Amino acid sequence: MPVSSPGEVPTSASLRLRLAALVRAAALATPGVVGLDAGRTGIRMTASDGLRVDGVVCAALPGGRYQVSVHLVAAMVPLRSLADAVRARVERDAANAGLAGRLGPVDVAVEDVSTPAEARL
Amino acid sequence: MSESKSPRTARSGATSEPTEGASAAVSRRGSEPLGSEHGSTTIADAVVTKIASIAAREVRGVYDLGGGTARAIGGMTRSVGIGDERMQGIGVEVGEREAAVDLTVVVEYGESIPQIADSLRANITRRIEGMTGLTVTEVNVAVNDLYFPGDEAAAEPERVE
Repeated sequence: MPVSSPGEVPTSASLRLRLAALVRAAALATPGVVGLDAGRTGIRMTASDGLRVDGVVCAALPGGRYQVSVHLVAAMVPLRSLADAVRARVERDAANAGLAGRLGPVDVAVEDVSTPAEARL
Repeated sequence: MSESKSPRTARSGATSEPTEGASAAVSRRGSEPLGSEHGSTTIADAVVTKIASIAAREVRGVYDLGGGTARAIGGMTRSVGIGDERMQGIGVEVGEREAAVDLTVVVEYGESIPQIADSLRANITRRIEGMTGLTVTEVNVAVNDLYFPGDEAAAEPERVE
């Protein structure tokens, strides 16, 4: 079952899934992010406990942290600063949720841009 | 713009996607992203392609992108809903900090081709550098066909404003 907000993730769910949901929400809340992209085959996601977070991959690192990669569809805005904004927001939200110690590097990949013509569809 | 583009301007009537030219221009450090302990940022080739395509269509006098075959096949795949005209006629090579673009265009009859080529270089460079922060090392323009107003038989390609 796809998860779209951290509220849908029970606190009993794995840390990996909770982190992924937090990252997804943080990315979607960043102005200039149109959506997340799980890829053509849907493989860029984090799944656990029968739940699934699309567009975010969490992978364990030695030492208990999780490396996060988030795959964006962006609006036509400067993409480097957008990526930095997403990264900053993810780190801030993780800190607010008390997960700063478990968050590793946040890799941001802009997979696609959404043109004004597409946005009208 | 490097000096390596002279042989390519002779590629008249080339209908294949122009990807081979750009590969020489960008050092093949390739796709490993800029990184720090906070994580890396990567920008997919498809993104640069799309930006280049939109920037090219913004230039006055450019009627369409792509060679004859690409446009014919593009029209077919679009009509069955699997084509993406924004990828047509554009080849990009994206490195760590630089990008190179090859494109094939159809221009409107009567327009100055050197002027269009200059405008294409300027606009594509401006858009890619503005949006991605990549430095555009070269934009190679191949003019593949001329468009006369009477040419559109049935389906006129969409213009992206």
